[in-house]
Amino acid sequence: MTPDWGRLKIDRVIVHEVPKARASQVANTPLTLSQIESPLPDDVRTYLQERLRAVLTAGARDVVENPTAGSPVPAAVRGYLQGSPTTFVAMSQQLAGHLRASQTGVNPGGLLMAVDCELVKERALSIVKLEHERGVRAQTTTISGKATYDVTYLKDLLFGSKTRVFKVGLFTTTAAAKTLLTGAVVDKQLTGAAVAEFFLHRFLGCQLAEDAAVTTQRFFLQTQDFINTHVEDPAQKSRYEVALLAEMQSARNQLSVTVFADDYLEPEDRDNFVSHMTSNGVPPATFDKSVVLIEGQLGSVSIDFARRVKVIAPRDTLEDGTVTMDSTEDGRTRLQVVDEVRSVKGRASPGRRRTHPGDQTRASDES
Amino acid sequence: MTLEAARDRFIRERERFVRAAQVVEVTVQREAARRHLKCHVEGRAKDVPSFIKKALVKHYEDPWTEITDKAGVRVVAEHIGDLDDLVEVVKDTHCVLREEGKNLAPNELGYSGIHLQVLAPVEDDDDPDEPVEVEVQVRTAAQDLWSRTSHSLLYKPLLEAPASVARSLYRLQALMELFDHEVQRAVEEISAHPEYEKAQLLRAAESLFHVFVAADYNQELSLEVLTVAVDAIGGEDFAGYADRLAEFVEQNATKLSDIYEDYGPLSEQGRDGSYLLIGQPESIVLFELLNRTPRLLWNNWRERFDDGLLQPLADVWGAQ
Repeated sequence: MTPDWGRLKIDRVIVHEVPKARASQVANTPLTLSQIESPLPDDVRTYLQERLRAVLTAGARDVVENPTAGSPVPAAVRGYLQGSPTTFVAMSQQLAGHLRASQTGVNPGGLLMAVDCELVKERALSIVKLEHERGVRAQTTTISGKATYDVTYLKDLLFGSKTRVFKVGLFTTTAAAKTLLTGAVVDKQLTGAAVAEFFLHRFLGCQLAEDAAVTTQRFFLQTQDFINTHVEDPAQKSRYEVALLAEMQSARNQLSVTVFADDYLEPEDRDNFVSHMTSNGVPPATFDKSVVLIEGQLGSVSIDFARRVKVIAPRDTLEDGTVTMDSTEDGRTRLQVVDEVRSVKGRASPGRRRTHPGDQTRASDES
Repeated sequence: MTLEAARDRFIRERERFVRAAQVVEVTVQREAARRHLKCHVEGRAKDVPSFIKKALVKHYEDPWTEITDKAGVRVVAEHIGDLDDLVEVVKDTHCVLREEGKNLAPNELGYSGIHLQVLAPVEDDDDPDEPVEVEVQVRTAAQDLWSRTSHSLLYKPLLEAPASVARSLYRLQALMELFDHEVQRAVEEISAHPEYEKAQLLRAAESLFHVFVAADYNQELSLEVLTVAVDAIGGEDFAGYADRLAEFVEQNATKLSDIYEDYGPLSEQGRDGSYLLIGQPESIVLFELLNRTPRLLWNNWRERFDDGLLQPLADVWGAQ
């Protein structure tokens, strides 16, 4: 179940600077480690709180500790949340040290922020990697007695409301008590396999809790379940099913429940769809698409009728209007095929051979 | 039964009538509230002197049987348009023995409240063989005022009322009817106002909002924002939505309280205007919609407003 990120409350924050690591033969710029927590005036606390709530809501993925990663972070997080004597400051310094150790020359520098917080009244620790952003600031001023704006170039902005350069991990006390640490991670780069390696694997020592193929299969099956249980209009069902198959076979290598809802569903169906998917274990955040487990189900649409008529139609025939479905006045469904008949054959009724064991005996006798 | 025997019995059993009146009062009150009918409900058992007085004034031969309002409940509607619905409330919740109401002729003035004789729901300690009858009077506030006034002037005084008093009361009946129908006309006119639905919604939101925030707000902005909210609420009738809103607030009281404390109009953040809508009562409605149908709300929102107004609410709520 997705946590209520709107119940996240920040208590303490500490920030360390972790500059970009240089190539191995050049000495690294040293870390700038804080020795005490950052002062946290109310406007800063509530702003950071809002940003964390927003990014976690939009993009949190379930992760689990990967013991083979060799990262000290899970142990440090577990120890801190379970009340080890290590202080918040010391623990966060350890995290900063390991962030530096995890960086290669391609990873940008930035700040590591450790956030002592509460999620629905449960103690939690959030680890945030932020990168500096650039911008300008305009302030009114007077030059030679004339009003103007003094525009200043700033290159140390952090965590703006539209920023995409951050990575967040969050772990709760309950999750820390498990054999393997579990938590949530937001990383815009999480869906690209190689870049995800740095923050999730090398630094946090975690991996996604579920394989992309399994998540994709769940997305596919749950979308079909939604179409069959929530959508009444046959034409709509057909459109949605075709959209699902098209999305699965598209060149896009990521899937998102909300994007699918916005792109293909009618406005009145979108919330029900998102709610159906998330309550059935499909993450609301974007994830990698891998169709290996459902490849065999993507070519055609299978339509089963109450009186045992079954139609299997290639996806393109539903798209080009060769096969159409709509409702009749009495609430039943009319399926229409406009094409040339190639052949008509007799066929055993479904299940007939199994219900008459004698048929099987005769078949084997004849062979 | 003689008056003396009836008096003794009433003294002995009066407590049953007190309880019966209370039970009917609470039953009608709850059902009327569930149907969103505004009314004042009041139950009572007759006191012993009134019981005797009525028997004497009316010259009853069998006062125990003939005095049918030993337990009585008054249901006073805010306006005449609700009378029929309130009568239905009584009928749907009780076994009705009799119903009395006057259909006045075009050239006739008079009291037209409706009286229903019902059986009080049986309680554990009641005698199921003789359930208690309760007289339920359903009337408007004007009818109630006239009825109580005329009762005290015509039936209670020791002196015979002069004809001029009867004439005054007769004239007051015209005023009573005028009052009721003018109120009804005003109610219908207000209900037909294009902004009525939004105003009702704002009133419901405001009373919930003020539980968390003690600050004034921009009413004009509220009505503009609620245009989108009303669209997103869709076909749900206002009364049903008001219930949903109250339930939402009850279930999310802690979260809402934290949000208004951190981002409300009196907070550090709220004072600089970044969270403008959190300082407005319609934020309660927007939070409810962000929680239940965020995509539909966004879809409607973008047809009228910029994302920037709603986004801070979505962010602090943690809405998908």
